Amino acid sequence: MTFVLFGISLMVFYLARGFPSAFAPWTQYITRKMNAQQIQAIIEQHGFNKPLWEQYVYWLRDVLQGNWGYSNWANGLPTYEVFASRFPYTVELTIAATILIIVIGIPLGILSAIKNNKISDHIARLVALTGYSTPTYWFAYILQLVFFYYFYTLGLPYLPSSGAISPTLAGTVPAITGLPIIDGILAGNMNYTLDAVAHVILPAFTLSFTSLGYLARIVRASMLEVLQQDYITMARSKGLSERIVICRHALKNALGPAMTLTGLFAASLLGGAVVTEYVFSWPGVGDLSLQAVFQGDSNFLLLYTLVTALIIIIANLVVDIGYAFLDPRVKY
Amino acid sequence: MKNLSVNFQTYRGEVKALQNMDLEIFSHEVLALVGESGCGKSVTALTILSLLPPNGHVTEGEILLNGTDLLKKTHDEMRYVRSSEIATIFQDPMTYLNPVLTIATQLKESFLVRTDFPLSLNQTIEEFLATKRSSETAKVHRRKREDIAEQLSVDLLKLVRLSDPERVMKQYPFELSGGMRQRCMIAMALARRPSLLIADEITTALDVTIQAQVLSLLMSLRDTIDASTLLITHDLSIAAETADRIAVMYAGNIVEVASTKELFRNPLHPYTRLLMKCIPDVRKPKARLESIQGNVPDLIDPPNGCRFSPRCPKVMNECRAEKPTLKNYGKDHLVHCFLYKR
Amino acid sequence: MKNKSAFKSMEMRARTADARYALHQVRQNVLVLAGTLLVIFYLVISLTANYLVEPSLAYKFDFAQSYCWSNSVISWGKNIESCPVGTNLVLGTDGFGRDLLKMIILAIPVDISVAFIIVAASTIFGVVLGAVAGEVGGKVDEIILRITDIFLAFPGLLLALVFAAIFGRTMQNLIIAVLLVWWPVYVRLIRGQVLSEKEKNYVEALRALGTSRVRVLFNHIIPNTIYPVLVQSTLDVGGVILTFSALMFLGFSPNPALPELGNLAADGIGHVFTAPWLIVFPGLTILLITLAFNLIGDGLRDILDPRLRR
Repeated sequence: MTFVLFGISLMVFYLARGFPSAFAPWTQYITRKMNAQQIQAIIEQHGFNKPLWEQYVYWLRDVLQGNWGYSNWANGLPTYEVFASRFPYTVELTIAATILIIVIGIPLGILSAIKNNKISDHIARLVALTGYSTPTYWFAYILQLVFFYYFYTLGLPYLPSSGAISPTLAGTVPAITGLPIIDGILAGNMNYTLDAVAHVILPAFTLSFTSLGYLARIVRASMLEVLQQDYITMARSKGLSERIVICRHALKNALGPAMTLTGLFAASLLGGAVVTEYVFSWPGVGDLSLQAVFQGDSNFLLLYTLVTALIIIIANLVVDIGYAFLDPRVKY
Repeated sequence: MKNLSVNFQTYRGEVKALQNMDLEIFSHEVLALVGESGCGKSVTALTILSLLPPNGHVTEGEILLNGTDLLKKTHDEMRYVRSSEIATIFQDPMTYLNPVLTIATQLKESFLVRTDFPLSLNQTIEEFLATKRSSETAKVHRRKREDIAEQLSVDLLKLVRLSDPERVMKQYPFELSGGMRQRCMIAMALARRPSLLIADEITTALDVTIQAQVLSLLMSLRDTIDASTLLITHDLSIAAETADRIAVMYAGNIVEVASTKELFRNPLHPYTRLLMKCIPDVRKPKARLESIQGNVPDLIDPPNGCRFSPRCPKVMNECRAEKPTLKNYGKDHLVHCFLYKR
Repeated sequence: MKNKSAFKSMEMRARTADARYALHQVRQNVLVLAGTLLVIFYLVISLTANYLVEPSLAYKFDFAQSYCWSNSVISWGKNIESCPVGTNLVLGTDGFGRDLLKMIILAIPVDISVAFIIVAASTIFGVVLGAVAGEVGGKVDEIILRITDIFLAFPGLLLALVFAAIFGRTMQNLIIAVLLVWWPVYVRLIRGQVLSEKEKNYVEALRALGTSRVRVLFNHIIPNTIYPVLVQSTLDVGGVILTFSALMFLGFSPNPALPELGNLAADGIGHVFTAPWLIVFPGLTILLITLAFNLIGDGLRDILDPRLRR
């Protein structure tokens, strides 16, 4: 596990600093106010005049002390702060998208399995596959076009197309968790909360639409396999209604693999929301990472990839434990 | 069962699994359905329950239970039948029990599936099983029904000779041994108080000592429950021990039906005779093991006429051309064979 | 020697039976048929694109006509005055004043061929690496596995972005960038398959006959485990097109006028509300192509899944 983290950091580090780029690598650690002497001191302090592999050691030392440098393209704040201030928004988006994926994807998969090879199955599969085949940015813009622009011009109530909260309401609620919806609820400010929800609908739906097909597919395959099992025949021979057979007997067995997948998905959504955040101007970390790439901010990218990898690893563990709850045969 | 035919659609063709089967079970009797693997015994059970897989179809015939044809019933009516008239015990208790639900859940639902339910716990389990239909069908509160079901379940587990039933209730199927699981399955079947109990090869997956225990359990329960039993097995010796009448089946046809004593005293059909010869005699340990030559026919393209004709030592020309019809040989001994033309 | 050929003919018969059964399933499955038709349609277009549309049109710019859409039915766009009325622009013009429909037709072969290259390369590379990892085991396996894990832990698009940003925006670099994202899946897939195949009896039999490990690996194990790889490849064609066009969309194309679906869509970013067709139609094309391949891949997965066979 730690090996993976190391490996990632090594790879990004090498990519970032091992090749000539438009930006001097030490711009990371200097603020605008420093003069030439201070800059030289920084260069030596962080080992920029040493060979590459030694630089890595210096970098490691810096990071362990909490110094990720400064992101001059983002108001010159320390990189760590820039990341931390935006991270909760990405978390909110991811949670909203995951909820949508589960709420839409699982029933879709179950429907497909129950009505196997009938029309509803084909339609459900088509919907799922279409979602899976849609370019994220395209879908995002279409949603914006329809729900924001056309609704607006047609005088219908419209959904906002950018940001996490309306500018007029921003900052009116103390930021305890950093997630606008939660903060709004905690502060008891319904106006704020509803506004935050309205803002998150379109991006979350975009993000979830492309993934729920995959979940539906796994649920379907799992359900189909379960429905062929002997204990389902047994349950039916008891005279139980089909609804009970499916809900009580089949689901518990079928949802195991689906759960595993959702956990991993949620974790990867955290990373992959780059395009969605970009299109919706969502103030999250993915959007920033795009700019970081263009600005050559390797520290930011390192932070981003390491955090994402860490979350995926944690998600794996959580999912394994959750699996033990569903299936009593698995022991820890 | 009258003139029942069942076909299966498969990729390679149509499998004529059951062909014009006639079978009758009388109340309170144990009828054994004996035949080798693949001859269609389990298909018979599934057809009675209307639980055939999607590619199976009944092409003709009827199944009468107390006068009404089961094949003509709607899905919901059939569900009612399964919940209170017919109960099945299946072959492999490991795969037929849901691995993620406790025994308690699976047993209680067998009780709760019926709407007529005793109001209180003022009956012993034997009395409960004996009364097929409860007269008190008032609306009982759901929580109370679950409690009653819980208590009845524990009693029922005691009845099927499981020690420490409270503990078993909380366990999952994989935590029990094979014999214990099979007893739970029996309990689940009994809980529905059926008029017909179908036992589909219930001992096949168990080792011999457990087999004996389970069979003796069934026999002892015969008096407690008020039902007929269709015992499906490939083992003639089990049939001999437990059944009142035996029906011999081959390749989707019934070939002979008689009371147990009569069948063993006077087996008529060539197949039955060969089967009896195959049972090794414990008194002659050094004798050669007999077998029936030839192979079970391919049911996609079965032989015309009598399906046993390719392997029959007494085959005649008419056997290959036409199907033999039922002949009553007296003393309620039925045979499908041209040898006995009366 | 006789054993080997008898063996092979047994295998062949088993495989043709499998293939016939699979075809039977395909005929029954509506969605797969639809997918196949779509794929054939797009392949035909890619092969004939240069005959349908004159390729040099891609570089004939006419900025006066940009961002408008006028034909007998619709009249739309900011340059609508300079846009010649009465022209039959089926899908409007793009930022360079080119006919969008023609550009889309030119772009389809670019996308599809790039996708094929990437999928083929990553499949071969991933399969070989995975097979070696599974077969050899031990330290080599560990190392390959760890490296694969590292690549897999990267959020996909980002890896390609970083690579492209650093190494420059030539076509080759972009292809390599996307390749880096896709190959690890195959390693995992094949490794698992090889590991379970190794335990099977026929492998032992072959070794007893004296076949070298390499031959066993390539002539027997890999063909037997090829089904999931086939499925994954088909599905990946769609995924690669999505990723590749997303890269272009975000601004990494080597040439802003390059006819490529993501690139064409990128034109419309600043003009979402005034010239929506620029994003809608190229995106729609991407969707349909990806959907076609996914339909086939998904159907294949169902058909080849041994557990669901009847």
